[in-house]
Amino acid sequence: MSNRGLPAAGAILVATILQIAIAPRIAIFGVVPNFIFLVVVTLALVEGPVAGCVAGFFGGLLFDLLSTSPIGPYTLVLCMVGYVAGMLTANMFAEGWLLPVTVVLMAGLVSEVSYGVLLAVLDVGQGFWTSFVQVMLPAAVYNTVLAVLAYPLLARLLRQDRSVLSFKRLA
Amino acid sequence: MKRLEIDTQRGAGRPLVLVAFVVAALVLTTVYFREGARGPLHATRSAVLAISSPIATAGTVLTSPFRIVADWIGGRTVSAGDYAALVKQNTTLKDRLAKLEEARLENERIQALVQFAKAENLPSVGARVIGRPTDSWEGTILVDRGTRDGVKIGSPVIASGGLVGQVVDVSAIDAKVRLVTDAASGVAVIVQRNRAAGVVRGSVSGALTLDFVDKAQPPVKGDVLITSGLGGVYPKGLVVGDVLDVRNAPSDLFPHVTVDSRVSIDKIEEVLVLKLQASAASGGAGK
Repeated sequence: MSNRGLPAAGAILVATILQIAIAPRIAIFGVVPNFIFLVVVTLALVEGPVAGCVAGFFGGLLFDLLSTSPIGPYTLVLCMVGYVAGMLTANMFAEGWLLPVTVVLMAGLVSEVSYGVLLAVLDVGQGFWTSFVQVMLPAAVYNTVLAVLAYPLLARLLRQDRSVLSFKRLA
Repeated sequence: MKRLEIDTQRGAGRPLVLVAFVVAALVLTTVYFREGARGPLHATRSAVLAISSPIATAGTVLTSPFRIVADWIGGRTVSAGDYAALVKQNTTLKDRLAKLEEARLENERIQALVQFAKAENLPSVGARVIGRPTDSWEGTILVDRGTRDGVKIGSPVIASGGLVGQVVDVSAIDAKVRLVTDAASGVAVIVQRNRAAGVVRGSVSGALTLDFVDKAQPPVKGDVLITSGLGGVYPKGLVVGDVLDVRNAPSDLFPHVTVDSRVSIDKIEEVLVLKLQASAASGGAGK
């Protein structure tokens, strides 16, 4: 495992522990934040598509194992979302605050919608629009709000070999 | 310029990596559906469940001071909407207090539920809730009883207000309970008043509905729904909830019935796990 692999694995592990211990306690109207998703997208943004894909696979697998839903769908969704989010690193400037937050919002929506569609295909989901209004959209917004707080810290932790300017660019 | 080049290389995609992991995820999904309940993925999930139990307990302990403060702050103010609802509720409660007979019947129902396990000679074990849903898609709780306490997959779970759900995963020390409000949950019930049969189903929002009830025997607001015992998943006679609203349009195949659980799912802290025989508890959360 490379020097950057260890912090990445540690971050996913800590996110999983927080997902079990803290996330259920800060749910708002049944919408539970997804710390694993936040770590995967942050990793993808600072390390690129391959790291995003690998982190997404293992993060998604842990998320699937924690739930009672079938194992595999969220693993599939998160490794694809991690890869695509990582692709954006090369095409756009990734050290400001606006891009990461926008990417988290878009990635959150895409991952929730994709997961909902997969569950529906596997006949374990609910009606699309009901899920969209009551789960997908609120979850994406909640994760984005948390990303505003967590991204600068996470990005600095995961990429200590370069500066992450984050909110200084807001001024 | 040098850093830009490095970033560009890092950002370059490797489609083969993506394809490999996508294939691996699809294989996992396929294996999950094809393997039995004792397959490696199910076993891994049970192991993760056992590991997550102390973490969830620690989370409960660590966050309890914050929750107490939040509850205290939440209780200090009331919105105009809540105030109006409370006034309405107060009127309803006064009306109910005047109806002693109804109160006596209600008391009898509660007593019957508390004594249910003994009266029906069903072995049971008390359990504490140590974990809440870890994602927005499901309605499950984690309880601190497992196989070493006699809990099995399929064991019904009740609380003082009625049916809570069913055990869907279990380790030696804890068990995951699918709530009746979960979208994948379905409970065969009958209306206590007219014995009309139906199925109470959950949803992603946690709301309960009564489906497939005979249009000629529609329930009315306030009707009590109890488990029918059909299918052998839940024992007969457990209170599932009360009918909250009924819409029975002529064009509808079945009436639209909204149900209110008597169990405060979000605040439930203790439950009773019924230790039924595996054959009576098969069916996977009443699906």
